[in-house]
Amino acid sequence: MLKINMSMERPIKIAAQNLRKIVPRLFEVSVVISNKAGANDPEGETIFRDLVAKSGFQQVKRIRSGKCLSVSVEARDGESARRLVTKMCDELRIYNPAAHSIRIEV
Amino acid sequence: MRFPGSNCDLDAVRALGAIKGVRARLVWHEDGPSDDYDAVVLPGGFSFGDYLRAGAIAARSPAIGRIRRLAERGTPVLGICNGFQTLIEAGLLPGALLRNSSLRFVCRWVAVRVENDRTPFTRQLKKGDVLRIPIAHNEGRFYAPARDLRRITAEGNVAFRYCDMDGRASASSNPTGTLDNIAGICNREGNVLGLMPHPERAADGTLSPFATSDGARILRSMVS
Repeated sequence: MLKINMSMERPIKIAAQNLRKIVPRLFEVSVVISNKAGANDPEGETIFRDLVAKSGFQQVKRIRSGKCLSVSVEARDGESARRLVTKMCDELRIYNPAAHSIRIEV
Repeated sequence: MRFPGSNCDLDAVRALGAIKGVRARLVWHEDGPSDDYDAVVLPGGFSFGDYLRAGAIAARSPAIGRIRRLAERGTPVLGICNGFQTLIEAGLLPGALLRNSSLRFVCRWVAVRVENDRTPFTRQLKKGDVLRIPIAHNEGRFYAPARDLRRITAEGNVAFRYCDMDGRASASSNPTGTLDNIAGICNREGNVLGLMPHPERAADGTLSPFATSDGARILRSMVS
């Protein structure tokens, strides 16, 4: 009886390990869209000039505003999640490459 | 065209319908336009709440694929305000329309100068003509990287510039901080044009504080 149990146990363990490898996990990916350096950012400039610089935070030298999307994505690993979100941003033009730069963080 | 949020669509239909021989129809963005239209207008207002960016979601609507095909065949396509933003987001026109420098919604009558009179939309106008047309938008600051701007300018694709009543384009006649006072641009072929001012709101003299109907000159050009 003991022999049979051991031989049964092994293949099940391996299957469970494989299963862990292929089951996608949920990754939280941040997409930050902001104006390129050459495109003025009046919102960031106003926040800096009229709020931050006037309120004693002299160490703050510059502020750029942007838009942040939090994307929950199913993927095998972080790199696949990043690739998928990058593809989504490019194909659906989540940003306008003429004026915006994009930062993707997993 | 009518997108969820369009609000200058009826004005456009009315202004076009007032031109002799024109039958203007309102087409829902999921239903058309069919191939037998002689021209397409993407109206002003909003679209899909303008979430993400003004025009960014409308640019993925089923209508855009059909409009792209019509444009490739040479059909005139006019984008007004949100329609201009949509054409840019769809890649039918270059560059970007960013938030006004003032961070304010700017709603007032302005003057624009015709820069290119060889497009279907300006053929009844002359280069240098000054038109009075109102603007009403929050994201109308045209931007393109320096190299793209040089190309757009060199190829004559700047169609309209904001100016004063004497036709001088300067910082004081620039209502939004838009690059080089650009108010409207066209594609290389000239048959796709986007502009921030609203010609359909300036097509009837009784609606203009100057009793002008300069907007109708653009619309009449398009259908002539």
